[in-house]
Parts: sequence; C-alpha cells; structure tokens
Amino acid sequence: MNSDLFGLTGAYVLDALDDDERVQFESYLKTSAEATAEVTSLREVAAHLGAGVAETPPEGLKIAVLNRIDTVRQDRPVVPLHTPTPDRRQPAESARKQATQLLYGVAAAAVIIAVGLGVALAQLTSRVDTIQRTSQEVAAVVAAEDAARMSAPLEGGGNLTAVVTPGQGAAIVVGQNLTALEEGQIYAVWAMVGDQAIPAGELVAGEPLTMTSTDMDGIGLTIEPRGPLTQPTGEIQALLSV
Amino acid sequence: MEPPDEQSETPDRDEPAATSAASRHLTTVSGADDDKAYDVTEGPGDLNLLMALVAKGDMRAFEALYDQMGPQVFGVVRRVLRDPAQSEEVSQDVLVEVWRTAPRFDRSKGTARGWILTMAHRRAVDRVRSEQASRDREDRVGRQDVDRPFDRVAAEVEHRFERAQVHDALNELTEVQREAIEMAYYGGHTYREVAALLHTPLGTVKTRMRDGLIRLRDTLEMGR
Repeated sequence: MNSDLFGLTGAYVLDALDDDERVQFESYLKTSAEATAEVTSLREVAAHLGAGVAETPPEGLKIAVLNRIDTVRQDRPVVPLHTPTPDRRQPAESARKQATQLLYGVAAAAVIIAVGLGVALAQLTSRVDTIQRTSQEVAAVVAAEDAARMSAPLEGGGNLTAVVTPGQGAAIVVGQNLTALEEGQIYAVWAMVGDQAIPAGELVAGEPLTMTSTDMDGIGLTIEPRGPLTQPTGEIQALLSV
Repeated sequence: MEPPDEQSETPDRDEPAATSAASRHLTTVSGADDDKAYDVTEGPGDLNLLMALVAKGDMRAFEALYDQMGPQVFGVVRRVLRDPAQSEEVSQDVLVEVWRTAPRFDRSKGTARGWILTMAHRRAVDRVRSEQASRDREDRVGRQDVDRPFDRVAAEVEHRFERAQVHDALNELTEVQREAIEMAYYGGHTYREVAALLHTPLGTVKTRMRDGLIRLRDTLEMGR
C-alpha cells in the first residue's frame, strides 16, 4: 500500500493524480519523510519544465496584478506553536505535559480500539466528547495559579499522581504503571474530607480522573470490587495529602 | 549518467540533442558566460530574497518578483490551458495568490520558484479539469501538442538558456518517459488518462513519470 503510494511521487508533482488520490497522497506524505524529500526534490524538476516554457505575458497582466494586490491583505505567517515560558510551577507544567500526552494517548487508543472492534460510531463520539470534556477540565486545573503536583508510589507498584488546585477545589488524578487487577476489581479514588472518604470514581490506568471537592484534605486510592462505591473496603494503596 | 566533458573538449555534448536549434542556442551562451547565464535565468538566490521581502508586504519587491516570475507563470498556465484570455485570468489569480500567501512560504520546503510554479501549474490543471469534467476528454489527446512543446514559445532572451537546458534534458529521456511527462505536465492529463491514451498499464505510467523526473533531475544537475 505505502510502497504503491511512494511510487506516485512523480505523478503527484506533475499534478497527474485525481483529486481523491491527491488527498490520499498528501496525507501519506505527512507520514513519510522519505516521500516528502523526494517530492520536494522532484518539484524543483517540474519547475524546470515550467520555466522551460516561459512566455511573455500580455501587457495588461502586470498592471492588473499590481492593482489587485493593492487591495489584498496578506495571510498571516505561520508561527511555531506557543510554548509557555518555564516558571516556578515546574511540577504543574510537567504534569500538564503529561496530562496532555495521556489525553492524546487515550484518544488515539480509543480510535484504534473502536476501529479494531467495530464499535458503533455513536459510542465513539460520546467517548470523544467525554475525552474533550475531561481535557477542558484538566486544562482548567493545570492552568490554575495555585496548581500543585503531588505523587506517591503504590505498594503493589506504579504511582498515583495528582495536580491539585486548592483554590478551585479541584484535582486531576492519574495512575501510572498500575498493576493489572483481577477481573471484577477496580482502583477507586476517594476524596478525604476530615475522617470521611467520599468516592470520586474509578481510576483507569493512563486516563486522568477529574474530581472536585472544596474541602478535601487528601486523595486516597483503594482496590474495590466493581460496583457502586460507597465507602472504602480495601487497604489504602496510596494517600496524597492536599 | 555520463560525466560532463568526458569525450569532448568543446561545450557541445556528444548526443542527438546537440543538433537541435535549442542546443545551438545553448552553445552560444555557454563557455565563459555559462554560469552567469544560468544565474540570470534562474536567479534562485535572488528570488528567495525577493520572497522574504514580499512576505513583509514590500510591493516593490513584488514587482521585481513579477518581472522574474510573470513570464514563467503565464507560460506554464498557457501551456496547459491554451486559451490566452483564460490563461491571463488564471495567471492573474496565481500571482495575487503568491502575494497573499507569501508570508506562509517556507524556504525549507523548496525554492520560491518551485513553490510559485507548483501553484501555477496546479491552478491551471484544476481549471482544465473542472471545465472539462463534462466533456469527453478522450478527444483531447494532445499528441500534436506534446510532441513539440517548445515551438510556440516566444523567443525571449532571458529564458533561452533554461529552455535549451530543459529541451536537452527531455531529449535524454526515453521516448516513453518523455511522452508520459509531457502529457501530464504540459497536457494537464492525469496519469490514468495518460495510461488510457497510451493503452499502457497504470503502474507502468506512474513509473515512467517518476523515473523520468529522476533522470531529468540528474541531467539538469549535471548541466550545472
């Protein structure tokens, strides 16, 4: 397939592909540095073919063009993506990066799985919506002035990491390298308020969990049987003090 | 590829193309003035410099760019479209587009000339295809057109070197490579159409195009 597409570099620079093929080839180009390099090089050859048929244009063309550009605003240049200047909140910054990477990973994985298993499109759409909503929540938390990052290792391996904003009473929790659980078990996150544990939801490896609680003292993680969460029954695997 | 000046002391190369009128032109500008003629014709450094100024909204630089590229843009468009009035209209659009998108030109992705002529050729081809979508394009076999693509070119001194060079390079190709490239680039045909017109398998045609362009590149680079 790809080698077939690679063989189209010549036809592409000669504008000899149909519209559909052109679109397909251009998306292929984005994935192949080698094909891109060849296209860049062959495009200069095609330019020679063009220059070889140079011909004096009609008198009026220059005036018409110069008159028109007088009324045409130029496009804005392409600038590199804004990279935030490093500041004192290094931990939050790196958590933001981590969270973003996680989200991309989650989105990509969701797409692959959906295609692979033939999951209904509607399901995928709702999944993507969830990811987008989560992404916005994550962005709000990590961008907060008072965002703080904390992390603790789990007894059984892996890490529990959270970015917390006391001001907003919000937190993002991420589990990394968590040990796989037996069927019917989940990692459960709890907001610790005084001596109470309020269920915040299931923590899935690699997916950020957003939680809100204005007076949270800590974030706890336990292993629980799958089902509605009311109060922790398992041992505390990790505890973060806010 | 044979290295230059291997068998001969004279600038003339020992090949059939050297007998063409265009090559005799080449001979008249070769020798001591060879490099100079080439620089004047292509002026890649010049043009890229101009593009940088145009990108900043410099209209005088654009005028200078027009003087260099206008004939090339018009030539490409007219070669594909034929109709002079339509060619003028499309050329105008292309050149305004060059002005508008100049700030987005990325030198790392090729020369300014390559960028501009790519735009010109694509616009011309798009116009042909949209207009002729409903016609029977099989009628438009351009054999009589593609066999001698240089005949109707105005004799412009400033482009004669380039023209001779391209003419020679095309003559270095096999007949079938040259035919495929000319039908696509000058005739505006898709490779599927070329395959149909030549009764040749698709894979063969796309290979001819790619191999032909690579060979052209080698020949043109050798001529530098």
